[in-house]
Amino acid sequence: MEFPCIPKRILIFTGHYGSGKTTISAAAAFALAASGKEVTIVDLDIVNPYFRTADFKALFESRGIRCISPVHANSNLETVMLSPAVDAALRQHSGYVVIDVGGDDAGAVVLGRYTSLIAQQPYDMFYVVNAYRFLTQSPVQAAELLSDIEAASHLDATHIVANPNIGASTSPDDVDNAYSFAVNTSRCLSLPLAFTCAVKGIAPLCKTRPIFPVSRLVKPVWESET
Amino acid sequence: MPQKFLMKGNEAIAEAAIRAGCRFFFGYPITPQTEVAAYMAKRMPEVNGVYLQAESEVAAINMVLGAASTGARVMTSSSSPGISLKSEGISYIAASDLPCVIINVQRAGPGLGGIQPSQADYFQATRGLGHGDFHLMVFAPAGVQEITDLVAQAFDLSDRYRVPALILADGMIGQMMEPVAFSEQSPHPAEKPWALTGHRNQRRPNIINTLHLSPDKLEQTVIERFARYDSICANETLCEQMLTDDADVVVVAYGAASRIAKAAVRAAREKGIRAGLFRPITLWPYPSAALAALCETTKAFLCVEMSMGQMVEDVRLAVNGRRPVEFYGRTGGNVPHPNDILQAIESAAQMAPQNERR
Repeated sequence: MEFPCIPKRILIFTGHYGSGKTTISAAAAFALAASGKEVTIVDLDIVNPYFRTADFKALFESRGIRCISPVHANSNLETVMLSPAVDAALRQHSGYVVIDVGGDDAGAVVLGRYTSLIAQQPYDMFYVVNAYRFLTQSPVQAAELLSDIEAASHLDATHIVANPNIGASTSPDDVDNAYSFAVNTSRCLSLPLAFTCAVKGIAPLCKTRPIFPVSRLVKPVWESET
Repeated sequence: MPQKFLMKGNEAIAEAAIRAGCRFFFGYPITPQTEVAAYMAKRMPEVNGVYLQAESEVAAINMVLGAASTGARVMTSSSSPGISLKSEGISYIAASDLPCVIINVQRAGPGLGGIQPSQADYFQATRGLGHGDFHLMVFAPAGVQEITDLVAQAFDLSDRYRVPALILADGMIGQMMEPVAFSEQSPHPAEKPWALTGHRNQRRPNIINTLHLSPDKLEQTVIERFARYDSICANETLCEQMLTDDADVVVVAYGAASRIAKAAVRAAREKGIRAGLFRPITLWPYPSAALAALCETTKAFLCVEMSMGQMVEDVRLAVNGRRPVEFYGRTGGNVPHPNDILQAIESAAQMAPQNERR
């Protein structure tokens, strides 16, 4: 599946807890790798204990994607530590780097650690919004959260990405009905709406365009195959 | 139809409490429940409530005691090691007959243990969350929607019986995201003539105290409290059953483990094994009578927990030797896979007495 924008070297995904950053970061990495690009995905989430990019390390590696995750991710140790490999990936100036940032401004603080490195290179910072998330249901609320994230990370978002979903039961109508929210948020923030995401099963049935079909990676163990 | 939102379990705990009229939250951060406190910090000022990060879990639970004494709806939240720290205060709250809601988003133990999900605090929650003769009402949600319903119910029942309520969740339930619709039902706060609100020389002063100088007076107080426990046992037991009518093997599981067990029961049915699921929703009072009734139709029970086997003791007490009770569990922060439970169902089905006619 092709990435629906012309990608810059660094692609940052930020947003509210549970807005779908991990799913979209993974989909972006898969799309770039499938087109033959060298891709590194960075799990920069040091606030969320479970359901994170590092869960899918083997899957990334099987598709030739390098995955950098926090030291001790998914162990029983909770340490606020970053791998030196993140610096190296940002400094090497080759290949694409997809960064999955932790939720809210709390998660975005760590991005500030790399701002000076990122700002001197071509990058896009995508602000992921989900119209069905509880505390960001209005464009004004979504705009307030982004200003907190920008203040914490010292980076400005360049695009909005809509990821309208209410979990496994999301219908094509749910996706289409959330389009006006994305457009209003885009207006409110004066940022372009880059694309809308939907899981592969329903993406072809949605009217919203452009649409980026993604795989629902983040799910509880009881939804795994028996 | 009310609008549906995508919420994290921990956020739903906090929002449901606010909707139930809780305006006082005292907490201290610990993974994997931190979002409860973070959400309260954001939302409480919007509803003119108080969010206070205490200097420790011990301080937080004693602030709960103080706020509950005034008749307010109050909540605290923590995860396993933090709950152990609160246990002295919880005993005092129970002894003071004060209503409040306590959240335990369980992580792995013992000791500092780990941050991954666990159900190893069952004994602590149902047998002795503090010293002395007392019980808490214990609710075990298995999904984000159910969290919202049980938190509301916990506040109402805690008020009605003057018994503290515990929501026993686990890291998986706290961290997962699911659609939620909030009911329009308003809270049912009880009259609280006992509350410390200032007597203004117009009534006798109310006193909230846990020290009794006479053993007879203390015994009488405890016996009166146990009469209320009897009424809770008779009226407030909750459970869910799925496919148990014709089940040869009934899996007993609560919380996140029940979600995994549900997937395994469905897989077993596809393989032609008559499996069913019994899910206690209240862990105290335990739905013993409903479980015991299944002895009439089922051949074996399989208890599944994210622990070395704690609730299995309540299953054995209810079954009382009439049927074999097997156990499957993972611990240390590990979560069973549906396939592991399926295998345990298959082996329980083979071990079940075959000679009995249904």
